[in-house]
Amino acid sequence: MFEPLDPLLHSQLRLAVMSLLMNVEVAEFNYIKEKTNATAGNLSVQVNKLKDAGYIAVEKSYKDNYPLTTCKITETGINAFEAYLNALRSYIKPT
Amino acid sequence: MEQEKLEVNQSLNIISEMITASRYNLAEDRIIYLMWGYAVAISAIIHYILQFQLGIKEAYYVWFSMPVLGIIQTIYFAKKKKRKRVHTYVNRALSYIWLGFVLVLISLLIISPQISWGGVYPVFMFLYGIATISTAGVIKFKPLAIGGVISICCGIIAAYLAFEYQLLLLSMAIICSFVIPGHLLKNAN
Repeated sequence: MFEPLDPLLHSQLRLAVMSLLMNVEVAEFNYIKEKTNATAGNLSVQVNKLKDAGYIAVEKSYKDNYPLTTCKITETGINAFEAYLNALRSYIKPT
Repeated sequence: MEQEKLEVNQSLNIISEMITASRYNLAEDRIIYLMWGYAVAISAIIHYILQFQLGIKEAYYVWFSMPVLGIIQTIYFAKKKKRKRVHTYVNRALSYIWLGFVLVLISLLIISPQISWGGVYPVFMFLYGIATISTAGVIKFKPLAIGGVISICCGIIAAYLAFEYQLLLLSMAIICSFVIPGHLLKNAN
């Protein structure tokens, strides 16, 4: 039986952002942009979608007088990611 | 169905790629292991030669180079912190292990007049062992753990020997726990 995949995570860039944040504590927006090879505009849209779903927390501050955006995965995000992985497993399990 | 399968594979690839991309770079701080490793090993040997082969009493002056290295390391990490764009669990674990190491090392230096250098040196070797074995566990790098165990063994042997031999054992301990793993880190990841 195939489990439904979370549509919010079943998207290339959003899944990449979540996978990255699962592996770190906090990451700057530019770090995520560099690692995912995404454009700033697209990444910003996807980050906002994840934020609205409560999967990540976004904090805006300043570093050396420049605006700084940092992202961090939330408890809800970790649970959603784990559920997504479990759903993926149901697709690759030998039948 | 075929499409679904492909997407599942793609998802797994993305997850795997991102985990690899954000992985801690093992070779990142090897320069620090090498700097301290070589400095302590060479200083211990110079101390031994000057004091026990040439009879120079002020041989311990050689250790005054250590605070200079401490300043270099502080500058290195301050610059690195400024450039840092991501905080990982590995970095946090390593920071606390080595912070503890430095605090105990300084405490030992402070209390050394109370327990004599001969009593302190074996503890230095135990300390190298604790820090490098813990680091090995965090970054999953076996040579550091092996070096740490050798360092602890050197400490046990040193406790039964005179100070002059402790200097040579200290040199051996740091070569095994810092210098050799430091070089091996270059090709590891």
